[in-house]
Amino acid sequence: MTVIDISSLETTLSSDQCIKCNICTASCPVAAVTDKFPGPKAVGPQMQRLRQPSAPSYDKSVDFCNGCGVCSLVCPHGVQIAEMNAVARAVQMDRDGVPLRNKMLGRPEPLGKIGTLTAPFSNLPLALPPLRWAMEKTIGIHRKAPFPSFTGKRFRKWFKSHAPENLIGRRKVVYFHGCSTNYYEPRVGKAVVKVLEHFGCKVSIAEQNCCGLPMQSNGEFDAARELAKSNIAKLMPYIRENYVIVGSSTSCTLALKHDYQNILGLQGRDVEMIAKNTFDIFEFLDDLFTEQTLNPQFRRIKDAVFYHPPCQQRSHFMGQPATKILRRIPGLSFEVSTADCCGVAGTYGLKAEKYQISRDIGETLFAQIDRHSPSRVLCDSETCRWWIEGHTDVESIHPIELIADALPR
Amino acid sequence: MADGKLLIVGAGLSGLFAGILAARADLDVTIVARGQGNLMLGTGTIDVHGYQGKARLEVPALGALDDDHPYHKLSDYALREAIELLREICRRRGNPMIGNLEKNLLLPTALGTSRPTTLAPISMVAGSLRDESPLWIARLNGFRDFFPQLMHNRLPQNIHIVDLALTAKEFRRDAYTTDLARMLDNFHKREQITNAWRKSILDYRKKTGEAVTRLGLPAILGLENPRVVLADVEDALECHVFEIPTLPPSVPGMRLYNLLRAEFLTLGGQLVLGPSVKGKISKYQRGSAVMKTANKTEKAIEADAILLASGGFGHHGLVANVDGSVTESVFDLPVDYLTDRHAWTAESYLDAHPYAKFGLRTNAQMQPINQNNKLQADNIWACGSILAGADRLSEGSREGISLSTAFTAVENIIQALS
Amino acid sequence: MRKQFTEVLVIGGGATGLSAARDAVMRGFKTLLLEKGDLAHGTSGRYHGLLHSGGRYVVSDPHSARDCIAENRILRKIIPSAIENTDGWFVTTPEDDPAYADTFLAACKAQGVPAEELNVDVLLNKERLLNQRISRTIRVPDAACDSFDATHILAHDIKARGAKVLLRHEVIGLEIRRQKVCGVNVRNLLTDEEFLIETSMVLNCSGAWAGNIAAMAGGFLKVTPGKGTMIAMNTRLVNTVVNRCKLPHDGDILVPVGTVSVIGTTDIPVESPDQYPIEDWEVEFLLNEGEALIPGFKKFRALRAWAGVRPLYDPTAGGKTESRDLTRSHAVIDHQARDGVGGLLTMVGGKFTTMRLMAQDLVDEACKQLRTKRPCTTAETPAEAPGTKHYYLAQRLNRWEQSHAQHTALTDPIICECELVPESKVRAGIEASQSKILNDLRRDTRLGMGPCQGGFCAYRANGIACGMLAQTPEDAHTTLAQFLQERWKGQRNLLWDHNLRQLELDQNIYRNLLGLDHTVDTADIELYPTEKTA
Ligand SMILES: Cc1cc2nc3c(=O)[nH]c(=O)nc-3n(C[C@H](O)[C@H](O)[C@H](O)COP(=O)(O)OP(=O)(O)OC[C@H]3O[C@@H](n4cnc5c(N)ncnc54)[C@H](O)[C@@H]3O)c2cc1C
Ligand code: SF4
Ligand code: SF4
Repeated sequence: MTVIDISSLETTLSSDQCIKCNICTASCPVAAVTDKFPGPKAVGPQMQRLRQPSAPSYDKSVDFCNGCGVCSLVCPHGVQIAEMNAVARAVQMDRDGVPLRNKMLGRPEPLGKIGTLTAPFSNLPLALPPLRWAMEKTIGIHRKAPFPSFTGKRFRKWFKSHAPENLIGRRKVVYFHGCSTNYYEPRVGKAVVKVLEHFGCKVSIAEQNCCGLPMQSNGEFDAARELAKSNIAKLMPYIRENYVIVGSSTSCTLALKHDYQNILGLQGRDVEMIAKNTFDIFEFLDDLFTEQTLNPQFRRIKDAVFYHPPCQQRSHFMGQPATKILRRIPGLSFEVSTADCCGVAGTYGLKAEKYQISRDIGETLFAQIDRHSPSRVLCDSETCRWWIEGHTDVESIHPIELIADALPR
Repeated sequence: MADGKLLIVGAGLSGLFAGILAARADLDVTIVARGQGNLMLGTGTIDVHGYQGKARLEVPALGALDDDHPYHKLSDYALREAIELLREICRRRGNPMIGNLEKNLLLPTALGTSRPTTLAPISMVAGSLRDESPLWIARLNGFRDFFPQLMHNRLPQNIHIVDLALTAKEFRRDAYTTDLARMLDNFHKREQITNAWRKSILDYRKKTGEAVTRLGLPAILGLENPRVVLADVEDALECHVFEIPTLPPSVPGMRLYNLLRAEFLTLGGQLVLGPSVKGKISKYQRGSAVMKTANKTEKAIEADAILLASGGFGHHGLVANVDGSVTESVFDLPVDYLTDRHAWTAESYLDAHPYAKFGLRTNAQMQPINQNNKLQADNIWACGSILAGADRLSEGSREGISLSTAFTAVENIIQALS
Repeated sequence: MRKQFTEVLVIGGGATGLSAARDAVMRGFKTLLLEKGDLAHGTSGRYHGLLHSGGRYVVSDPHSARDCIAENRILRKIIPSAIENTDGWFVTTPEDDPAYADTFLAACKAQGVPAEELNVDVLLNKERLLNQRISRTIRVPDAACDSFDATHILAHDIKARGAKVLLRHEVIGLEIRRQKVCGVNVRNLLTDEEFLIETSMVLNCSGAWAGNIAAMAGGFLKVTPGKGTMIAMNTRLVNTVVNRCKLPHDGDILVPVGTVSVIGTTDIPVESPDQYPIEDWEVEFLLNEGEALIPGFKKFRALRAWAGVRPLYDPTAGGKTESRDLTRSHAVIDHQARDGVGGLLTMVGGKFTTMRLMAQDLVDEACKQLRTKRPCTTAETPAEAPGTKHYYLAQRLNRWEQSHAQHTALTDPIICECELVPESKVRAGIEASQSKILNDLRRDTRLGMGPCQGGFCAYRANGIACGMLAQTPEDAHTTLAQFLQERWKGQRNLLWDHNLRQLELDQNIYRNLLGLDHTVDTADIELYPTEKTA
């Protein structure tokens, strides 16, 4: 039994706090659209009391939880429902074996490596309907699920060749770019570097690998732990040198901040140090402006955008620093989404049996976007951006890209 | 107009309402709450004062309450204005509330007792027990949270039970009130459901020869647009329809939560759900607060004023400890409570329990004071269920206290900041 | 007055009485059992839940230890579905003398209790909450046995074999003719009807109440009720039985039973088996003892506190003795020899674990007195019950998940969500018992035993029962209030943190949303006479 570890015990034992009030049940975006999922209370704290490490259990419905974390957010009593569900799913997969499909979706990195090498050819299969149909039938990836396209030049390559603005910055930052920035959206990484350097930071990029979240949410805890440990080992030297870790993908940073300990159950000083020193890019900027009493000036951008803080962002429990900073851009008008979740939740919505659920969840958000008809949708998580673009035909970018644009020239 | 940053701890009725009031006054308001508040669990009505002992009150009788009751700390207009404002917001946002402070409404509970309240959503008022005509109550087969046979014959009104199919289509798991409400929100499903119900009502009439004039349903008439759902259901069934609150989650409560949240956000307020707030009081009597983020670090929250709307024992505003002590969870402010734990509760489960009155003691400005009436911090206020001196359940006064104390606290905060 | 006859009449529907009835009916006697409450309503339904391996007694009471290990093996075969094979461990915490483990191992060997000392990591890796400073760990074949399951299985078996079981029937007197008990006077507590049952042999298995029956025969029997308090923690903090490796003492065992884990017990002589309120210091004491096994024990949610009374027989009848020192072993008392009244045998002492053996000894003696030779076959014959496999925790979860996969939730909703009791089970329970006492349903199904202590399910079950039993709403509301009041007793001592939050929610449901306090007279919710124990 490798899945439950002492600190994920802290998570699973938070079921003690549950008073069965159903607040989570009422707010879960999945339960709201499908009767296949019994809801957070039912599969979370309620089932948790009946789970037993040593006995056989048929514990399947938890797989319909998309891990959005809304339940943990609304629960007034600190029950870590979403986290508990992730652990339960992993236990189940550990027993039954992880499907091939989940293994593929859990590994964006090897996929990305092959993909970028062969781009633009590698984008082809994902665009061809017959192939997508075959993929759905054989491995269960939905034929309509939007996939990003590979870019030819990886972010890391660009970074090595770019001339840093700041070598002796006041703040030392090691940028955790994550897989998607490296393979699919180097533009996000470039924006991050530009903004950080503009505000006087010395930016490095450590050797790093996938944060492990895709594997974790596809039930492969052991493999995810290996990735986590490897990241910790690669990042620790920077921490010792007083760097802070800044990330632009709110899901990667949440993994570093929270999931390594509370879901994967890693323990020790290193993982704690990593957690405490990891910042979301906007959180970092907001803190920086406050600390140094900066009052940064931005260029005027006459635009109407829509900001959707993804569920992973909310799970940072840090409020919405992005809105505070966007508000400083003169001319910019933006609406903030009140939808809890776009639906895709990482790789959940790509799965054939869940695609429709994710679409239905997304309807609330898509309708809001439709109502405001913004020029662009801002969102801090890559999979959400692709999903939103796929279903609304509105371009979706990371909010940091807009900030980079707004920097005085 | 004032100008400054206000932190409100708690997203229940008092926290959201205070947030709205403060945002309307142009304060920069952030609500931080470790989760959603009591609204999701309650009746969705606004109770001001319903009982004196076991007797139902025709009109709130605030004068009869103990001297240290929170109502006695308020100006004479606070309650009235708070109720008016709430009513205005609810009407504007499509969920009109009916009733007034002159006379309590009497509405049936799911056990068939009559419950006094000041304001009720429009979807409930056809159930009024001031009307002596009979009630027909729907039994939704397969729905485990509503058993009208338990209210049968409890009231002076004649009660008849009508069986209705739960849904037109089979629901494949245990259905909660919110599930049914969401089905009714959906136009197509609503049509299917009401058609099926209509058939049942016609059959019922054929069988019994009785025409249904008003029909009670569990409180499930839609989350998004209750007025439309109510109208459609009434049209289809050709009778008045009313909701009866039942086990949580509370659909009427969630509507209130949603609309207050929307109002607050529209006014530019920030709502942060999830983190718990911890605070300190400096030796200069100033409170400051941090929130606990996902990586267990503490993030400072900038605030010129802090309003505790963090609830009573049910929502962590107050915490009872193993050793028999009681703490206020954010600042560890002094709490009024009995040290002998045996005295906290009554022998009988259903009686009034003394612990219900535990809480923070405040001055007339809604600022926490200790037992010697000493002010604890210059920039901390409190409102809602964290306040000492009221037994909200026994009095039927929860929402009235929340609204009026929020009103008074914000009034004082604005004054202090300007 | 209605008259009935039975060859053997058993008083008491606890572990002992049911076992005795089973033994008697299997030896071919026409048998009838009377119980004033529900099955397991006495000590059996309030015990600690441990099927002893004998380990606990190897040093202090070797005779008991040998009985326990033998019966432990037998019960696993005859009532498997009531037993969870949890194993048990004796552990040396920093507070215990490490040398005792050697004494313990030697004694286990001598008494034939399988015991094996393993590297501490074996246990500590499995049970991550245990004190990591535990220095020695010895494995023994302890198990957990759910008393409600066990007694239900036995009752089912007895009835299938032709014996009669009358619940809520209290023995109020004995008919004695020519120095011999020839019948018992019985009162049906639900209808207040009284009648006589004639019999050739009365087996008094009324546990802590045995003295009352003996007194009806004019005899004096000193049974000291020893109160033992336990606390059920909300979850299984351990999945195996954990005993402190030291001489038996209070608060030194943690047993995983069903969804909870139970720490216990205390041991205090009390006056009466019907009146024994739980004291605050007991709660504090048990939680502190829990800390020795699991650091941070007090942080976890204590769900419910309750107490049972040990029926400890004092053969010396007099002289002041601490109740734990009284012998634990059982004895058959022949009132012919003792008080000159024939036809009555009383069983005293014993344990849940040894119920079958006790019954065997008792019925052997009955046979002797009835001058018949009939061999006991209870050890070889499994009870007839639907389940033949050992219980395991995830059972209900699996059943639920499977029914969910078949999309049948709509027709069979879960009524008690904490313990996953579906409507079909609730209906079956009410159907079988025809009892409107919701507490009976609780013992049948575990309804209301989870964290919300009836918050949601009591209303639902009440709604179902009201329909099935054609109760008036007035009557139904009273039963609802009675049930909540009964649950209240176990919560009042534990009102901090989680439980006070739970109380707020439950009070909101019953007093705000439903207004139950405005339909029943709260001042005196009369509990059913048989539910009145502390
Ligand atoms: C705190 C505690 C913890 C324990 N833990 C364990 C343990 O872990 N393992 C173990 O093996 N043993 C344990 N025991 C011992 C065990 O519980 C008892 O030995 C056993 O349950 C006794 O069963 P019984 O049937 O003799 O008595 P009871 O279960 O008390 O049954 C007697 C029945 O007789 C009925 N009755 C009484 N008077 C009348 C009357 N006049 N008419 C009709 N019916 C009547 C009562 O209602 C009652 O139901 C524990 C005991 C206590 C107190
Ligand atoms: S997990 Fe939290 S929100 Fe959900 S039912 Fe339990 S206490 Fe309520
Ligand atoms: S994590 Fe999201 S999908 Fe999963 S139970 Fe919670 S709210 Fe529902």
